[in-house]
Amino acid sequence: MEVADTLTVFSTRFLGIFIEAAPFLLLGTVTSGLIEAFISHDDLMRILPRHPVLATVAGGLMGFAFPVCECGVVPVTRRLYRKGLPLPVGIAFLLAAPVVNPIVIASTYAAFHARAIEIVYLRVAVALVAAVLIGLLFGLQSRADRLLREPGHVPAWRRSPSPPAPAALAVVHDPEPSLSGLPGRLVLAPAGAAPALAANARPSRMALIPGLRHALSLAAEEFFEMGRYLILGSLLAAGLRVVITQGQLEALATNPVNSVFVMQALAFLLSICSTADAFVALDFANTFTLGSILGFLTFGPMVDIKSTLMFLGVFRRRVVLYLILLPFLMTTLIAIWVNLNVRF
Amino acid sequence: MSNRQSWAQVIILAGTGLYFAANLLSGNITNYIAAKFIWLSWIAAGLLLALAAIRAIALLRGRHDDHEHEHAHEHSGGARAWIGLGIVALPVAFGLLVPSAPLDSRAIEGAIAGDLGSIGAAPSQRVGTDPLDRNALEWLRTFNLASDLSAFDGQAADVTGFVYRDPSLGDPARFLVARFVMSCCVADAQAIGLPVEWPGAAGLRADEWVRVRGAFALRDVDGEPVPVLVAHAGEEGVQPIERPAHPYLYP
Repeated sequence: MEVADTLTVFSTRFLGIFIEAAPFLLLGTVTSGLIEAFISHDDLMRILPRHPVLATVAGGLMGFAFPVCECGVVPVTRRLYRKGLPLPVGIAFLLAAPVVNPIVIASTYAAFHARAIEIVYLRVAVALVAAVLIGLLFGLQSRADRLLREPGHVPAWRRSPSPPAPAALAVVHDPEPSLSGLPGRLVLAPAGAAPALAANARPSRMALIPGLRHALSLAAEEFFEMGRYLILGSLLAAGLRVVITQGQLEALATNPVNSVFVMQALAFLLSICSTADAFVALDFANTFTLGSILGFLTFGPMVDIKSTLMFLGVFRRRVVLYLILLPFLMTTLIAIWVNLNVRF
Repeated sequence: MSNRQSWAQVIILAGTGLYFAANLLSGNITNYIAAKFIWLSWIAAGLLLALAAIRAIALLRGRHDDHEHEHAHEHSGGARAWIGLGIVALPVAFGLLVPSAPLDSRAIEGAIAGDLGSIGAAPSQRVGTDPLDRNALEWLRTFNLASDLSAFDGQAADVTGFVYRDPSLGDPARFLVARFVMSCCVADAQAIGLPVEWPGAAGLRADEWVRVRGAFALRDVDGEPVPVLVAHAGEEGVQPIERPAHPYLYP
């Protein structure tokens, strides 16, 4: 192939991924802006259950409140962290919301209901369980503030009868955030300070018109911060498709274990939006095992090339590595188990 | 972020919004995403232009410091900020500099003629259309569901697609009338094709769009009996056509 031909194909693939994903990213950033303007830290804390495990489960179900795919979930999660969302709750939300939300459930149902309704149930269940477990694992971290990329002055507050008011949060620039949790013990600590609350005295819930203006202005800003990761991810995904063909990968899928790895790799490389990936999986459903399809439908929405790059905008590098490895291990094990034990 | 960079943001937002709008209005959008997701691009175009307008108004009124405090770390390097802006400008740059084209034979690697396996053939997708209305994908599905391919011997068909010279076909009188099948966007596009036999095949250009009319006959392709669409001899067998408005097939 000549260079010009390669460039044309690359351009079509790159723009295709970007054009498909950009609306979801924009809706995510606008949602994030609206949260900043209209939901206060107190509101958030009031909604969340006190118990850390229950709160993490609630995080995994928050996709019903914010139906976002993997492009939109990253800015929303980051915003919720700034509002003081505890780290494990945010991780559970980040990983589960792209699957456990009404839009994705509907599209999975549309694709699979006639063929294997079990896929719909299994997809939601596996994503939720994996996301909550991973969230809780992160909750064991003693210093949640070290996980986020923004230098966090994490105010250390334990599970107290009443969460401190935002004003108190702003004051507690605790020099020893290690208080927030002892190793091996779950403590609900806000993962990031809310700099917006700390830095100015603006009331945390804004009036309608200025609030909307503020929300859209933030959305624009965030479109640039998150958009560059999305675009780099789309470039990478398009580039890999030029180098590795789908056929080469499919040729490797020969048994219950291999097929799972191949579908995981495809999920990561193709970077298809979770609102549409069920239709893609349907095409593979003839050649691939049930477990591998399930792996594709759960791992792909949690982690793929473009969301990995977007994670880098929120978390530190080591955390991003865990955010790839843990969902990979968990969904892979479940998928292989399904292949070996479940018969339809 | 300097004033110039803020205006650059406005220009990139507006440019990307206009790029979406131009794709939608020209119909080029179907080169990239499936028809059922086009409404999302309208939302994107509207939001991008709205965000550009909001930012521009804020800049003109000098209300720039509204949210400055949140991005303290962004201010560190002017050069880094420009690189970030440059990355976000890439989609518009590609859109302007590289002519818009759907995926074609240049995006296909190797042989796809015998690749019937991964085409979805769920019972729910059973094709009930008139044989002459079936497209390449529907024919492949029909073949996949059939127990006896010889039943299609002599079956008339009328399909469109682009010319792909599949290496496994061997015979210069054969080519594939190919299409890309996509569920959501080009990220999942997969090439399929029906083998066609036509005396003038050697004179066809790769990627030329054609309408093929003829009848299937079981032929040996790459060692296996496969229904090959034998086009009527003469010009009406394989007619060059304009590229269709929807170059991809949606399953």
